[in-house]
Amino acid sequence: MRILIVEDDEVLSDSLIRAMAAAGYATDHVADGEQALAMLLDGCYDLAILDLSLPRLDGLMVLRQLRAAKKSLPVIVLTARDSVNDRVLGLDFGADDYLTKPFSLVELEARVRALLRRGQGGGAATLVCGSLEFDSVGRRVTLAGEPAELSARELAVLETLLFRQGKVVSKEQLIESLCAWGEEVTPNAIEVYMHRLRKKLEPGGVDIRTVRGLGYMMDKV
Amino acid sequence: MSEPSLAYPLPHTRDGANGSLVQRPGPANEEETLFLRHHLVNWLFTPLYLLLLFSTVTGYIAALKLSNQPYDLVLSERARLMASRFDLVPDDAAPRAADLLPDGAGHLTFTLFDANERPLLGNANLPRPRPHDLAVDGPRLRSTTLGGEKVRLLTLRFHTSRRTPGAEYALVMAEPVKDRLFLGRSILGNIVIPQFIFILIAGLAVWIGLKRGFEPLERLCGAVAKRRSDDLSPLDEAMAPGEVRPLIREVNALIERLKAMMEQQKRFVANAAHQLRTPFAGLRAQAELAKRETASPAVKTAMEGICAGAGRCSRLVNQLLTLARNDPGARNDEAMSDLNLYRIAQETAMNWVPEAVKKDIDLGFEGAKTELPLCGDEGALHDLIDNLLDNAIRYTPSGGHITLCTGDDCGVWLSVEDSGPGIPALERSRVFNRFYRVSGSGQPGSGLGLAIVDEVAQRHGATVAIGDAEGGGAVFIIRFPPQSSKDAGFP
Repeated sequence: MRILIVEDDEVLSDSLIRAMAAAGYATDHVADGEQALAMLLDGCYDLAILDLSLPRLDGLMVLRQLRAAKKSLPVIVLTARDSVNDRVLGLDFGADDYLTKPFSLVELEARVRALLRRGQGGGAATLVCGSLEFDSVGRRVTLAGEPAELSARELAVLETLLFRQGKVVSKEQLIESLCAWGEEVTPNAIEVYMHRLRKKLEPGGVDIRTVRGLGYMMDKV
Repeated sequence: MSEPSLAYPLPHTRDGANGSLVQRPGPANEEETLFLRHHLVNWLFTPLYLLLLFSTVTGYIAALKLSNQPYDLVLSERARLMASRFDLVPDDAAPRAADLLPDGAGHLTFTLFDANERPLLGNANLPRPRPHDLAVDGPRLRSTTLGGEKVRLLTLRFHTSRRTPGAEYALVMAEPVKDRLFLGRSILGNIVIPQFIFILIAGLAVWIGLKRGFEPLERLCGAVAKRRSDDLSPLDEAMAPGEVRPLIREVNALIERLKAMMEQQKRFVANAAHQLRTPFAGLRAQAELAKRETASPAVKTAMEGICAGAGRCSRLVNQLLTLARNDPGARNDEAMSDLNLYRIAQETAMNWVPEAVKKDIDLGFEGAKTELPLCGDEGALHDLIDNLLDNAIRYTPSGGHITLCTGDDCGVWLSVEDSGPGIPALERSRVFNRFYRVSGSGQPGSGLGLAIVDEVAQRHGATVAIGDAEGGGAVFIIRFPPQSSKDAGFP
């Protein structure tokens, strides 16, 4: 796995290079946009970490020209701006992910891993939460190794929650995820499914948290 | 839940000792206008009245002089007549005073003196003629007082031609001035009354003129006074009279410079904030690496400290950036759009749940209505709620609860209620100051969060109130002004 780091700040790029090298990736580094574009167009990189404010050629322009040249390698954008507009702009220009400076190395490493895995065609097929394992392809749930019997709708609710693990999922979002079943689902029905799910997951020590007025959340374990 | 607990006043101003959300006093223009007007009135009326007074006095003097003339003529004629009557009296006959007096001249007194200045004849004892009155031919007239009465005194030196030819006599005549004064006064009355009316009319004209003249200035003052404190658009030159236009142009130039300066400052803060983030990111990443690579627990702790410090620094930088964005000088109307406060509050609350869960705090949301139309800056409102929730999570102990509420009565509002230690009433007005931190809280923080809340609220014309939550803790209430039907384009 070969990664190109495009960052003009020496201290930051040094730590990025060391972290990526420590994680076992072959790493190259450039500090200006033009050179970065040339290397990305020529070379065979599996992923790029791209700073947006670069000398000679802006990071967004590098990204745009890269995508215009039909290069589809995953790109993680590093930005010093946190306004929503800048993020949207980055994603619109073809970034696969973004991190706002300063970020934690752990977070960056996790995103790099996720993008490289996706690049290989292997998404996370199994969602895990504590003793719970959810096979999203086979649509099977095991609790502490034991298979758990869940109805299709309970599975759909659980899948939505697991996909957004550590984040709040509103009732409306859960209703939407069930809409595919072509039936009217009321907020009360969601409460019923939730009640049943909790009962079934309880033996494994897995909890679905109710967030007052907002929805439900499964903690990231 | 309806309105949050009403145990405190629901003020439209900030609760606290010297909380000042009160309307700023209007500009001092009004006083200055009055001052200018006084000046004009003083400088117009004082000379006007002095001139009128002067003209009245000179008029009076002229009137007296003019009224004297005919009387003096008549008196001189009578004196000459008396002289010729005296000449006609034969030498041997003794003339009687009554024979000499012409008809209708009973009010006159006279004494005839001979060449030796001895009184010869007369109906009163008038003073001897003065030598210089006799030095000329013809009648000499002067005003004087005789026995307490003001009189016009005539002296006539004449020579007889028939009776003792060549003999010299002096006739002294006195006429009371009462009649003359009456005439003078009636002339004066005819001058003064029209003058007085003239003064009144002139005063009225000046008053109307000033009022008219000041109208454009007053309109201008009104327009300036009605401005928002952060409105930096140029003043309309067309509103001002020609004389004031140079001033308006100068003021506009000043506003322009101020705007440029604020713009520059805003850019500087934004750039500084952006530029600071990269070094912080490097610092943090290096510290993280060092932490991994060391075996020494002491170094690990130190590196954790550096990571946390870098995190706090970057948070501070973010907050400074937010403050710069919401600074009254950096107001950006383009960012204002029709929003739903319910949705924004719900979204923001969702983002904070993981943080609250980490601290074992029950963060909840309560909204009575699902549509709360509001014209505002979405990013700024996110910042406002972010900072309120961040603050609440910081100060609420583990196991506590925080509730974000939204509602609508005479304008939409949102409140954040926590079960923390609350804010002492004395500190409430100060917590909005930049870098102010509640004493003894022991919480790491920049002291900028509530300053951001205050700035965003002000930008939206909203008021911020702090109250006591039921069972301790603080409630922050942000109350937005009612949306006029024109603005509320929310479907």
